[in-house]
Amino acid sequence: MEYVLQTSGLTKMFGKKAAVSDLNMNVRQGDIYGFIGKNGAGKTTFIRMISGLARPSKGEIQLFESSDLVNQRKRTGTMIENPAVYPNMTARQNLYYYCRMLGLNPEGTIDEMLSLVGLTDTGKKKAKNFSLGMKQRLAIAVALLGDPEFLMLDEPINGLDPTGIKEVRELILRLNRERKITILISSHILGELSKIANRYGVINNGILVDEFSSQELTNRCAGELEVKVDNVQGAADVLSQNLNIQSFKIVDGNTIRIQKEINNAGQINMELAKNGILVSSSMVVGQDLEGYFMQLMNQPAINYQTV
Amino acid sequence: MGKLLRSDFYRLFRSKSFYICTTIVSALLCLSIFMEKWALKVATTQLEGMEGLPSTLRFKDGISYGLIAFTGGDIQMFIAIFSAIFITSEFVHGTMKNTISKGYHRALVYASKLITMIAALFIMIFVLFIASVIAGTIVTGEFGTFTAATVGELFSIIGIEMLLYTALTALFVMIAMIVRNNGGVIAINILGVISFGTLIFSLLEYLFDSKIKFTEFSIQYNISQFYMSMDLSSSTYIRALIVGLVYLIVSTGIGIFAFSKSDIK
Repeated sequence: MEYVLQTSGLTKMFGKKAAVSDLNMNVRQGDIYGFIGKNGAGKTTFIRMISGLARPSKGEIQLFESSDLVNQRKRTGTMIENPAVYPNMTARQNLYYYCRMLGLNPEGTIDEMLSLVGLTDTGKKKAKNFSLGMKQRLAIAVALLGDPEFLMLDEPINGLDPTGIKEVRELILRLNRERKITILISSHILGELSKIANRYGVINNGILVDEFSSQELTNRCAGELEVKVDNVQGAADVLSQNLNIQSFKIVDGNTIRIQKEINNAGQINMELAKNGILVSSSMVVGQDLEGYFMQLMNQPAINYQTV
Repeated sequence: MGKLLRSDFYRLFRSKSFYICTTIVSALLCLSIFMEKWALKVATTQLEGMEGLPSTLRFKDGISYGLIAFTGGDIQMFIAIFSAIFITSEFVHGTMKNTISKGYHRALVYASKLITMIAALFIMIFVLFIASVIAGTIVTGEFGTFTAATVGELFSIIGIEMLLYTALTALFVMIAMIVRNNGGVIAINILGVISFGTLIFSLLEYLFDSKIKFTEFSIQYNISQFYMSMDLSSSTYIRALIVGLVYLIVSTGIGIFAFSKSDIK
């Protein structure tokens, strides 16, 4: 089995508005898939459809390469939006409730889960008196009951302080490494996701605008060589034909941005000059993850021109 | 299904509101029995000779008072409140998302909630019965006896009353699973079903110029029939049986359909 989640043309309409539109996503086994999008982009709606809480208006879902979703969902764990726990029960009682529901032996299971999420010393404290981070971790423990192979976490770091964020991040990494759980994690904080995810999907206004690996993200955020020339079309020809550079984009009538060639700035300038193209400036322009995210949000797709 | 029931029963017995509702409804019924005794005492000592005053208690022994648990009392209101609290909390706290996302069929989830609520109702009525038998025995000084002839009749009355209460509970569960808002569900259950229910049937009867006796098809009417008298015709039994079954089946059917088709937030 290669994929734990595949969607094809998945759409959810609320009235005439598409919350999720024609979304195709593939999550491979073992991935930590970062699902990025600003608030209201459609992340939660997408996860709700996958977990059976909302009915798709159109499209198909496959879990573990099967369309028998009712049975396959038993192999998944979900935490959507706010941590859903019974406030008048302790952490142990909450887990006991779900152990009964799933037919698990509470002996051992509860202690193991509490230890895994770091809630062993909560004693008789009721969940309503937990901090948000503790509630999040308890909700993750609930999602982990029954040894799921695929975990969907919707905004698990929302509202957490830096310590809480670090704890949840370390927990997710541990689950992926030690328990081999595939994880789909949604967030609008790309900087945080970039510390754990190895694949990314970016959703904006219900449309999946881009999908890339962590290596691709690194490359895209590594910076670009921005060259200002008097003849941008001529420069594009020189880059593609003389230097065999395929990945660049023409920004405007005088500016061209070249990817992955920061170290070859001298050679590029020389080749352009040799071919009669006047280079007025040449510099490295970089962007951080957040900047890249903002670019994706404002621009539906990156139009790197491949000649 | 068994697993869902096990978890729902665990939550039921951990629910404070269940114990509070059961205690209050029992206390109110006991209080009304003692008040009756007190009113009789006042009437016989201070207002002796005045016409229209009760000279004896309504029932002669503890068991007779115990039967009020099945035919009267405030149980309707408390099961309306408790079912609203128990079911809507799943939506308010978001825990229903956990259950559904674990891959359980929605019809089974619904059935589990309904069965748990019916069990809660039966427990409430049983506690109410014990409490009113004790209070009745204290007030009358007699525990009472069962004769072979009355046992069968009592069981048929209790059976039909339980069916009618079960149907009413099914209606409350349906409302809670559709509306999902605590305050809204309590308001609809108490005002809409209990208070205005009979009024709506009366209005329908008025609109049809009393050609169809709509009021006879309300749950409250049928429950109250057994409260007022134990000596009823077989047609009353059959009508109550049909009304109970129809309410139970229709409200459960609508509830499951609506719950299965709706999104869970």
